[in-house]
Amino acid sequence: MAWITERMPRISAGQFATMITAGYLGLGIFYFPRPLVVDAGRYGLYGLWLDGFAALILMRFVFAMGHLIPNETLSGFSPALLSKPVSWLLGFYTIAYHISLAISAVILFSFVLGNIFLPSTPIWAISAALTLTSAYMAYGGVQALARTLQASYIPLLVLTILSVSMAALSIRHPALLIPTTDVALVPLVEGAYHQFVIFIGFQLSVTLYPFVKNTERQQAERYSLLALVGIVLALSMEYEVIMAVFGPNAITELRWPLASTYRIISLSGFYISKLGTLLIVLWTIVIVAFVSVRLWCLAHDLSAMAPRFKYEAALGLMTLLTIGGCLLFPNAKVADLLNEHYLLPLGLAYLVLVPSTVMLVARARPTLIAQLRTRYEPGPDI
Amino acid sequence: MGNRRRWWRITVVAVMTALLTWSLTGCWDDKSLDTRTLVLAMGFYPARQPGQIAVYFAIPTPAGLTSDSGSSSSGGASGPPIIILKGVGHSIGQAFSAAQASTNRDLYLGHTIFLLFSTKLSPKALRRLVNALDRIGTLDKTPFVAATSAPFASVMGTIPQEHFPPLYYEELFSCTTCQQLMLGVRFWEMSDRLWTPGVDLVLPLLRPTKQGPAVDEVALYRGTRYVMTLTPKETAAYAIAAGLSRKTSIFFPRLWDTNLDFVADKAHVATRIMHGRLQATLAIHATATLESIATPTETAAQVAAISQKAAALLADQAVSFVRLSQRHDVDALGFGRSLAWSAPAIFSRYRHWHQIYPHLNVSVRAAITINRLGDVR
Repeated sequence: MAWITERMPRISAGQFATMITAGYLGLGIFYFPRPLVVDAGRYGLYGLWLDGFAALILMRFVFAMGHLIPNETLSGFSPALLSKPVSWLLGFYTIAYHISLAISAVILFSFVLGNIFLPSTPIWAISAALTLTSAYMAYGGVQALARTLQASYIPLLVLTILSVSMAALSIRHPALLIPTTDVALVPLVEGAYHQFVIFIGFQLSVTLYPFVKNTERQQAERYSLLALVGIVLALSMEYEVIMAVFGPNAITELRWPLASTYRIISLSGFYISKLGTLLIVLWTIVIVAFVSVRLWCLAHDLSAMAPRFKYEAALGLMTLLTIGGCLLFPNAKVADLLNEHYLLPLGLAYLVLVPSTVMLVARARPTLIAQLRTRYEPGPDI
Repeated sequence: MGNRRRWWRITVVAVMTALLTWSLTGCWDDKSLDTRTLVLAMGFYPARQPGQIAVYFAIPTPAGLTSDSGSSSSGGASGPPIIILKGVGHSIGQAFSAAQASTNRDLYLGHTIFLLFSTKLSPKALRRLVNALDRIGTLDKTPFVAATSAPFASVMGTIPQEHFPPLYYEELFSCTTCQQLMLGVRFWEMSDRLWTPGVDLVLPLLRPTKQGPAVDEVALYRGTRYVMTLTPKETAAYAIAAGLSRKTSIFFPRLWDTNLDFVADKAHVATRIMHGRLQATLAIHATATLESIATPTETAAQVAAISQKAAALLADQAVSFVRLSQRHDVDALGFGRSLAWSAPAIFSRYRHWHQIYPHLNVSVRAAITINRLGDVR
């Protein structure tokens, strides 16, 4: 895929970290922290930290795979390294998996929007509008997408974190802010496993990595890991506030705990009295970012697997698949089941198995790796 | 070739822009305000037919809208500020449809600010109602809730000022300096209490009187079953025990004619296992203003004596409420919840907390700080 290095627009370290972060936070954010609390109760916070630690290790693992052949995507070099059939299988798995992730996120948020704000609007219209917006953002290519995200995603995250302090005004049980030390290991691990869905999705960095400017790659990795730490801290704050507002028993009854928490923010005297409800609308950006990054990566993977597909055509196909997939969901509960029973275990399996297999094979075939490295010379930074 | 490709790109971008402009407006839900009726309050009562509920919807009239906007001098129309629609059915949905059939406008629940529950509702009906209200996405979860034994129309009809009745209650409950006791309960707090084991529901009770609405009593529930209504005096004791007192006054005629005002308190409940026995403590800490005293200035010894006496009085009040609640088996202060959250394994051993609560050993501590001298707020 010499064309990738030749005409590849390059993104900066900060843009890479933003895209990686946008790639995982979107799914599972609306359940947060229900899975933790259902299993682990009042010590669910430790489960979140366990998740953060596991995500940190796995992210480093995926980056280590990126170091093998830094200037080519996995879908680009895997036919030479893993043989064509295996690489096709991997490619199809990746595409099917990430399309499912995108569909699940779009469906969940469409139901949140439909349920709270747009009761007369059909869900397909909401999900199609969300997916088309994502495709529109991804259409301009990686640089345009990265800049759009920098301008919208980062301010939103900052706003979300600031607004936690407003939700904190509704804290009714400050005693719950201190998690118990009375911890049972098995429920903790179960809770952490079910909550890990919030970190699923950063494996798209295997496609994104070669697009980072050569000189900024180490920095990009550092930024991504720092962003992950920041996200875990922000989620910890959210967890504490939600826990101390509702208590562990009520959280298990809330359909979308985070949305419920923002909805109880009511400021009398302020000109928007329901500020939290406005925030839920702004969360559209998180979902659109999650889907657009995904669509961009998939379109690239597809055009790397089958060069007949140009990027735009591949993007169109992925968009149609996402919209079509959304039509299959009668309610949000089906998306819940899909997440819990398929997307979570399959995503974890990918994160563990693919990098380890690729690195084992690479260790067994060092000469091939050296050849591939020279084949994909680094292009000049643009 | 290149030209065709360019045209193709332009077409795709144009079509997508058009599609997004068209689809992102949310036009299915775009209804103009004059075709929509904002439901400001809802009331839930048992219907005459067994097993059914009657739901009342209070909606503002045009006359009410113009008079509330403050332009009464410029000839706002006269008439009642609200009209009430009634729907009867087995569920909220059925009652809603029945009420909807009596108006040509779309009933909209997104601006509901007040919910009223009859004390005559059966436990099963109340649970079903709360679950159903929780599921309605457009209904905000922040409205204030109250209980009443009076008809909906009379609760809504006894507001002294020219005001929307629901708005009156919303402003009353959200105003921290307008009430003697902070009795306001928001809907999400109500469902939170019903979902949490080891704590029972307490709702402010609205009583229409000739002078206007009285909000000085509370209704106690065990689960979703209405148990009793506290008298105003018992309600004051409840507020002290629950840390909800804001403007209580205490007068000591034999102690230099002292008057303590603005007694505001915080209460902390803790239930633990000590020496193999359940032991609960209720710690109350209050602040107060020394409003008047018979001597021109007060000495440290006087302040100490007054605060000691006042703390004893608060503790007495709290003890009387705890005894009352144990007699009626309503854990309004959440002693069981405290145990469930600090020692879930022990709490789960008790199959029914309500069998334990009447025999729970509770010790009450109270302290008061006199931190202001003669400020009226």
